[in-house]
Amino acid sequence: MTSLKYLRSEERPGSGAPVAPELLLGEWLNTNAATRGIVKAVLARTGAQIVLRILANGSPEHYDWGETAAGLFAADTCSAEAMAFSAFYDFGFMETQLQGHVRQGVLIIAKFDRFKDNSGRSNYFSKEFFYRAE
Amino acid sequence: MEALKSVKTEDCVERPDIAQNGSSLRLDALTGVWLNTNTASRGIVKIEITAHGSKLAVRVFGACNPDPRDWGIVEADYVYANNISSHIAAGFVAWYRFDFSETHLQANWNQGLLVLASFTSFKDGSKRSDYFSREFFRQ
Repeated sequence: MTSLKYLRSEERPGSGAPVAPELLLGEWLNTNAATRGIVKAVLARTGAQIVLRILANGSPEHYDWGETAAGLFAADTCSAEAMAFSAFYDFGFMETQLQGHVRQGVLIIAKFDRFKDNSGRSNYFSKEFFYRAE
Repeated sequence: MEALKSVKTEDCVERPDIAQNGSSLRLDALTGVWLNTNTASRGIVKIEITAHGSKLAVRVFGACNPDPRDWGIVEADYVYANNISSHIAAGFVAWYRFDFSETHLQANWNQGLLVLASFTSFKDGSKRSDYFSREFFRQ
């Protein structure tokens, strides 16, 4: 039997079961109703893929960022349940790396925004909290 | 004043006089040796961050027996402030790519702590689940 390669102790075991996305799927609303950032995040299954759709604050209407593929991650190498995702949007003038994870029923989304338009805006990090819509 | 493109209200600002596009962020808050607040961590035990001009070099040590595993040094892909008008670095993203796995690190500084999220995907057919972890580091 060959031993598995690993870079930290927690990477040793493995279950082989596919990761189930159900914990993440659905519509998530920002806990801050006055957010100037992301208003709503929707994670849905499309065929074999999980896709993320973001609605961000805007006036007079919110911005629909459209759908992008989300990569799913479990809590550890043995877990068969996804509890985090990573996704990426490229808008041309800027790009956003999103990472979300569920903790005690709250979806925490961290955004890493990078501007590519020489507008003088700093690339920046922000974090927002979401609850599952009823 | 020219309106800048945006996809959310928080990015709507008027064009500043001097373009810096994130390249002139002050890196001091992120540099140094960061130790996991959990001394029994089975994940990442230490991170060394150094500045090279406007770039950050990241060196990660994973929990291992008898000694921590040195992942080597990678350059952070991008460095981030904590808001659109700040010039102080407060986060970074970096990739470690190995033959059997790859890990995307996403870090942010918060009240003296470095919060590190790592997304690890396996490429070796070992049937280990891709996984997420989040750990806290102090100086």
